[in-house]
Amino acid sequence: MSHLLELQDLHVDFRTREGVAQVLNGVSCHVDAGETLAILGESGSGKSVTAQAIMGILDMPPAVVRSGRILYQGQDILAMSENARRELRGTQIAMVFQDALSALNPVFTVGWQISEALRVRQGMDRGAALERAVELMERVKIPAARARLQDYPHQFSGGMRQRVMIAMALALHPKVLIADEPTTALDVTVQAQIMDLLAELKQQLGMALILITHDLGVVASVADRIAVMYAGRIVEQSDVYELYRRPAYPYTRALLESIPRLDRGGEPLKVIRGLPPNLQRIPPGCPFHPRCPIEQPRCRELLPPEVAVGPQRLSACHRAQEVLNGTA
Amino acid sequence: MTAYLIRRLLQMMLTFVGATFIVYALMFSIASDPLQALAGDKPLNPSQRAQLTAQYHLDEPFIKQYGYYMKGLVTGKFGRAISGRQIADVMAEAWPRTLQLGLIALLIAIVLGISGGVYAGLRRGGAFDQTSLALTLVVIGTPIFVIGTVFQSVFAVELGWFRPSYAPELGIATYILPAIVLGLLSLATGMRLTRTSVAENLRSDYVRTASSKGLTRRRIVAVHVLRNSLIPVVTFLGTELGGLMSGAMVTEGIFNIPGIGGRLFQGIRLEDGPLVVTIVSLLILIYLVTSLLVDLLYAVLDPRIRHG
Repeated sequence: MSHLLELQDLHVDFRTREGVAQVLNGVSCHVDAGETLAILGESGSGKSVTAQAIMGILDMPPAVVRSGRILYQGQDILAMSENARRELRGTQIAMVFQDALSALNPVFTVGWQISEALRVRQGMDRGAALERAVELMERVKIPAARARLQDYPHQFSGGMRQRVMIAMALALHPKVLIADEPTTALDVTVQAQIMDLLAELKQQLGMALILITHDLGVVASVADRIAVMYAGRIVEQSDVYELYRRPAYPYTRALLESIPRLDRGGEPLKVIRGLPPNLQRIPPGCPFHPRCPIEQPRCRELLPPEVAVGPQRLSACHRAQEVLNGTA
Repeated sequence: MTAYLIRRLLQMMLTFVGATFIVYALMFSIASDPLQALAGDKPLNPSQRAQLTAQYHLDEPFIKQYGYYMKGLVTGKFGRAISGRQIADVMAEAWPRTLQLGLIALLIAIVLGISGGVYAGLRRGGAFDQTSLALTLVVIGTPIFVIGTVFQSVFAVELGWFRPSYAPELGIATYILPAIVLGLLSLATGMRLTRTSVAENLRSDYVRTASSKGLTRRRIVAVHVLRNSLIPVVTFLGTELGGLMSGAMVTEGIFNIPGIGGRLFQGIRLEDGPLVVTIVSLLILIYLVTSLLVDLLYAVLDPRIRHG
């Protein structure tokens, strides 16, 4: 059976005057209806580029999709015409962006912006589209939705603005919702509210949710599966519970160990030494080897393939089994 | 909003009084003997001199003269110029010409500046963009009297597309070439501003949001990008009208248009205080009114200003 959305060996380059940066180097993952996939990684790991490649909103140039396929309901959307891809945006796959203040147009009211897709894409008349916008705003729990229809983005608080973004993304009933760091710009209590809202909406609407984040804490409560990205590759994929319990990749393990914990009070925090690689000069072999605490000679030469280390579990480490068993 | 408007109107009145006072003081200080300037080389006999001096209050202190003048200005009695003509007549004759010239120049700057700038901004780095960047730089760097005389000799004298000087029988068409010359600087600046603004807005996050809604590029540009890009352009071009009118002095000179510029020049030469101050006062008034209109328009275009 084919997945709702599946990425197969996706390669994306950024070609600039300074040279070619290999931003995605063979990303494969999938997500199904009613499921939440979290893509976790630090800045520059390629998680946002993955999201933009799926949406088809990469800036081309400089971005070039070198190879790979993105299958939506079994069809390769990279092979489609721009018009056919545009038809998919919003109606099949929608996206929520990181910073809602800059992602919303400052000169139009939120009612106008939420109802725009309804008017333009579905030919609804203004009144009906605004009515629907009120429903959507109520759905994402914006208080006094009707009264706020004529307000502008800058008149909303950060959390409410992100709710507006979500309402806008839901307007055309997408089957896949991509949320690119939806809570990064918000304070912690609001973060939790937005995550809960996304989880609830996914449940109610039966959508697939792709949650892009650098925050392990955000992921834990919401995601079903996690894909950890490093230097443009997915280095580990796992069920959330299993990943937290027994990571199978040294980077993931180091990330988990770097979280401050109450039960380890007094101990110095563990950090990951070094910096993520320059994507124009990715080190040979395993891209993580310069920072890896358990690196071996073969790691410097041989790119480790993704291997299954359990049911629904993949790790791209030469010593995956040892890491998993806690013997390395 | 009403409070803001009242505050702005009070500010305008203050600025207006202050500016006229300064101009009047300047004219008063440079005037050595306006009556002799009027008479030219002919000697002026004492009784004539006494009569004219009384008529223009020339023997009274400066502040009183200014008082008489402002009283006239406010009550609509502009009085007489030193040359003896009613200032109101001079104004009624010359202003429409300058106003038409300025408005046509502004129209040219708006239409060509914005459309050219949008096109260049959408295809940044393309042939049109590169050419227009170079050309606008030349325009910005060249003094208006050079552009004026070059255009006059090329397009009017050599090619014969226009008349080289003012021809009232042509009606509004006689202003086209002078208006192009006059508006060229605003056009070039406005075009560069539009180009940068469009290019910048194209890269902004809300454009990405708009395309993730599945909107066509055409709609994204025409609705989302344009509306945001035009905010600084409108502000700039709006305030240009006042500048264009005072800048019309040189253009009017080149094309022999008997507009306000020529009168102003004559007035300064003849040390004609009342005439010069009246013309400058009107220019100031146009400046003040257009900048108020632009500020109000700005608030309409950008909701962040309105609620800020």
